[in-house]
Amino acid sequence: MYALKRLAIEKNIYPPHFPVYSLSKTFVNIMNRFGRLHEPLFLVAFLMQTNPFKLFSFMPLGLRMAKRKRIAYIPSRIKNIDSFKKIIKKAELMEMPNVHEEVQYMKDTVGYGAVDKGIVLEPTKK
Amino acid sequence: MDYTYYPGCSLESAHSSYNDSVKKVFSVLDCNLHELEDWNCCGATSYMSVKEVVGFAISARNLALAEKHKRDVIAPCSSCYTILSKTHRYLKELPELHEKINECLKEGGLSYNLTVNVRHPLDVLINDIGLEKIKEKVKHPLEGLKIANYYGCQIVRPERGFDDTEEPMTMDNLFSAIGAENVYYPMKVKCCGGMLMTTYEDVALKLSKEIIESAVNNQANCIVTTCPLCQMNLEAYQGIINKTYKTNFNLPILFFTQVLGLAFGFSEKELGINKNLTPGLKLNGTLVHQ
Repeated sequence: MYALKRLAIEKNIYPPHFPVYSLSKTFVNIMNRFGRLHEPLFLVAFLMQTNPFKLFSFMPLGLRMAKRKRIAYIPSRIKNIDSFKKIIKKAELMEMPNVHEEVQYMKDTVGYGAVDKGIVLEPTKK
Repeated sequence: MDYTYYPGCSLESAHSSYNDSVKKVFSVLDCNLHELEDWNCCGATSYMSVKEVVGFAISARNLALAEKHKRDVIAPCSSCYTILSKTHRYLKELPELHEKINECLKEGGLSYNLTVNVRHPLDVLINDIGLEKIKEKVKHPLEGLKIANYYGCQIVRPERGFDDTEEPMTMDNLFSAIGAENVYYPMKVKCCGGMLMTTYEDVALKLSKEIIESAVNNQANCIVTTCPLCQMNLEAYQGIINKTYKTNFNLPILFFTQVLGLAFGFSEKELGINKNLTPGLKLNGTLVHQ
């Protein structure tokens, strides 16, 4: 599933204003910055990108949680953030290369129509 | 017994009650939890679904830090438990990936040699400590309490770990051993919607509603869970579910360590039950409104 999700993101195959990708991107940005997730910041940053008006609908829940001391106002940061960032930087280089290939469409090249025709498609490299 | 403790981001703030109750329960059972120094977020499913190698690398940083202490790691958050276990398993099964990740860790002065066991507290309670010792420590048996045990989808899947993937029983066995009644609960491993509550609320509301409804229909006094995200979805959104589906749910959603802590004699405040958004629960099953 994750492989499909990564592929869809890489190839831009998702609906406009798709919130799931924004959610993951926001998560990644906060984690890269602090080494830990700060939930209130995560939610605010995500909603600011996707639907700022929805922030108002979260206010009652936020207040109830604040009343019960379930909200951390200051993000927690790991001590050795420099070493953490070095690990991320190196790992970024090892992600799969983004090679975009577009296969030419030719009639009768898929399904039974293609059987025994020996068609070879050449991908167009971008 | 000594364990390395990995609380995870959620247990630092919104679910500090889970953190407190885990520590209280293990202290009674003579287990020392040593918090992993300078742990980082496991990356959860969000990181791994966007950048796989980075996701494995940051998760492996925690395993590399823990490896120095030569103890099993306890991770109470379902997501942290799943991601840390998955990282260990993938690195063990895929030598090329292991090599890559160690190259990344080297940049941070670390390496991981595949020796860490990642454990869920439920697994440790049942398989290391044992039901007999737990029963010895009970001061207030849970008689009269009807529990719907909700495992969620992460701790027993995708592959079988310490319990069955479709019909897990560890929580059921734990609570029946100390006097509670486990109600029939076919929703025990059904997904609550997880992060969809933030992106596609209508879908997650429907899933969460079904989970609460099944517990109510089977006369449970409460739902008991192991997962912070499930707890949040089932608890914080009960009001919205009631509004959307014209229901009237008012069901306590507790962590399994909170209920076990009550049986061990801790107060509601010590276990953080007073921080819950839905009513708390007394041992006889009555609701405590806050």
